Amino acid sequence: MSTFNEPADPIAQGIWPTAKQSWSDLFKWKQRVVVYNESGETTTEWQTPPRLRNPFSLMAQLTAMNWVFFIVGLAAWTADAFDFHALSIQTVKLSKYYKVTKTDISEAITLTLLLRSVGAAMFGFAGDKYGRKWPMVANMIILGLLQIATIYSTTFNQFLAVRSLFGLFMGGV
Amino acid sequence: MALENCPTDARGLMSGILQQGYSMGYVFAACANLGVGGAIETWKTVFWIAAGLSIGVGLIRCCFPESKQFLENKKNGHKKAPGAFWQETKLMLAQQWKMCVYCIILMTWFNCECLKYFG
Repeated sequence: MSTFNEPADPIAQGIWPTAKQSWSDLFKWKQRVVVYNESGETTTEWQTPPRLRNPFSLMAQLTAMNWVFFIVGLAAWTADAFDFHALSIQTVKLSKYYKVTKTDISEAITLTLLLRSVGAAMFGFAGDKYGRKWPMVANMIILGLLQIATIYSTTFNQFLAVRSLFGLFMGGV
Repeated sequence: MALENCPTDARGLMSGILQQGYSMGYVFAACANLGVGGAIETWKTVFWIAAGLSIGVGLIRCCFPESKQFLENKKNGHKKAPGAFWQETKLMLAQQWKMCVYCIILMTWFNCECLKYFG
């Protein structure tokens, strides 16, 4: 669109001016946008936000292949959440099984979530380096194996160790 | 990966739907938990289901090709070496550290609020 837009003040610098500007922009319908022209200069202008679209027409833009990838991604995320919540929803049974308190069991959740961020960073790198496919495949299979390992961990310490590893790989999804 | 194939216009909507996978996983886990009953040893059944699901999805993923974006980037020799990434990260932390601290606190707060009810 080459319509003329009203110029705006540039984006503020520093904490306080930024806060003031953002707060006042919050109540304006138009958006403050920085535009770069061909010679590399920047100008700031007010742009009308794009119209809201019907979600179904947006979904129709996806090709069949897009949908396949989306659904596989959704399934991976669902399986991952299932694995995680299989623990959190069964804390009572697990605390009886290992004869520890529920607080001890939730320690496993803490460990899982703690290592999840580490795993996310590691698999983020792997995704950039080795591609999106094989790290993901390996990740899901290892997640499954760790679930099985959880079943066979006889002592509570083994259980905690397996759940920490699980967190590492959960971050990868 | 699930999103980088999506047309840009639809990406916002689709990422919102993708996040529901987490809730779906929780609901399915809850269903499985109800399904197996309350006996102590039954937690293992739920874990078996979970393992099957994860490995299943992994195997399904094998059947589909690598991301096009990744292959194109690789072909163009556009490899983001980890070194470059760290340099960018350092630059970001140097210039925007206040914003980073703010975002971490904000997200921590959001998560606390959310998990208080949702677990």
